[in-house]
Amino acid sequence: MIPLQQVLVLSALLFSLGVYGVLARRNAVLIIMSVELMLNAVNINFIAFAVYLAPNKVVGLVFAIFVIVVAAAEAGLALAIILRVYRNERTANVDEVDLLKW
Amino acid sequence: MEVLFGVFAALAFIAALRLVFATNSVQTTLAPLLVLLLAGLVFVVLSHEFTDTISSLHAPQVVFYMVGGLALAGGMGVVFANDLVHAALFLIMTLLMTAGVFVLVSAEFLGLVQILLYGGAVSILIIFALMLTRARETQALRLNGPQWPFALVTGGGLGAVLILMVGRVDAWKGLTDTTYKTINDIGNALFDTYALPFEIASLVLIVALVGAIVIARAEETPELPAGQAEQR
Repeated sequence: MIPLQQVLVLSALLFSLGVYGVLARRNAVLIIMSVELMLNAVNINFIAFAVYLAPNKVVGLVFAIFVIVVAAAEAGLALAIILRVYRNERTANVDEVDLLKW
Repeated sequence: MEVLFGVFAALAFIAALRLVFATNSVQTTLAPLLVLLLAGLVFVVLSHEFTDTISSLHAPQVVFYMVGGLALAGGMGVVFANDLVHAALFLIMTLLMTAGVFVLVSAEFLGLVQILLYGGAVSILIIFALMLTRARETQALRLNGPQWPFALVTGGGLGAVLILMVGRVDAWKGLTDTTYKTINDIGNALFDTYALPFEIASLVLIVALVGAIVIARAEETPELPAGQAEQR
């Protein structure tokens, strides 16, 4: 019913919004949110291609499940690191955490 | 015409959302209201242009425009909002609307997984992180770094290139989804063909989450007596 291209355009727009967010934001949690946005766009792409281009296979759907799992693990780990950085540095802004900057 | 339709819908959605999150000042309340009125007015004036388009639309397609427009509005909210908590709420909206997109392209199991994992777990995790880093109290005046114009050029350029490429691939034109993969099929594939990757994924998840607990765990507080600190 829905043309494939419209789904792809939606995911492309979401992905570029996520890229903008990752590059522009200062707060680490906001950067994680933008990364989630990009992972979501990738998932839309996987599922759209799985449903439209490979009608007899479920590989794309299974891969999308793996992407969701890895995204959940990544979010948990990244937020733990942000918490630890906040506790040590009293800030969650990535431009103020410059211990490795020479 | 569909593009105009979508733009008006997205504008109206954004204006409505801005109204919901409006602060007390006059211009932040009135400006979205004006945009909403303007979008409605333009839509009414041009509605005779749309009649052919509207009558040719199928119901799933209309729902897709609404859900996709809301997802895009939420995505814009995440990257353009001036408040961390509003950005988190916009993210939840985008994630749930993405679940709607999954259901619309007949992958309803993924839609359910999306609601459970993203709408439930990940969004709660993010809101907790905002709370524990005292994001609202210590919120900087600028949420964007000085590099944001370059980020805008990069993101906009990437989006333009991707959309142009989507339009150029002839093999994707006119494709519509016809297959209907049941939860049975996915379950069989997961526990039969992809059993090993599935187990490895669960291992990755547990290692990552145990690691997260170890990293985020509070250090031994010096106030405690030595014996108690060792017992923990």
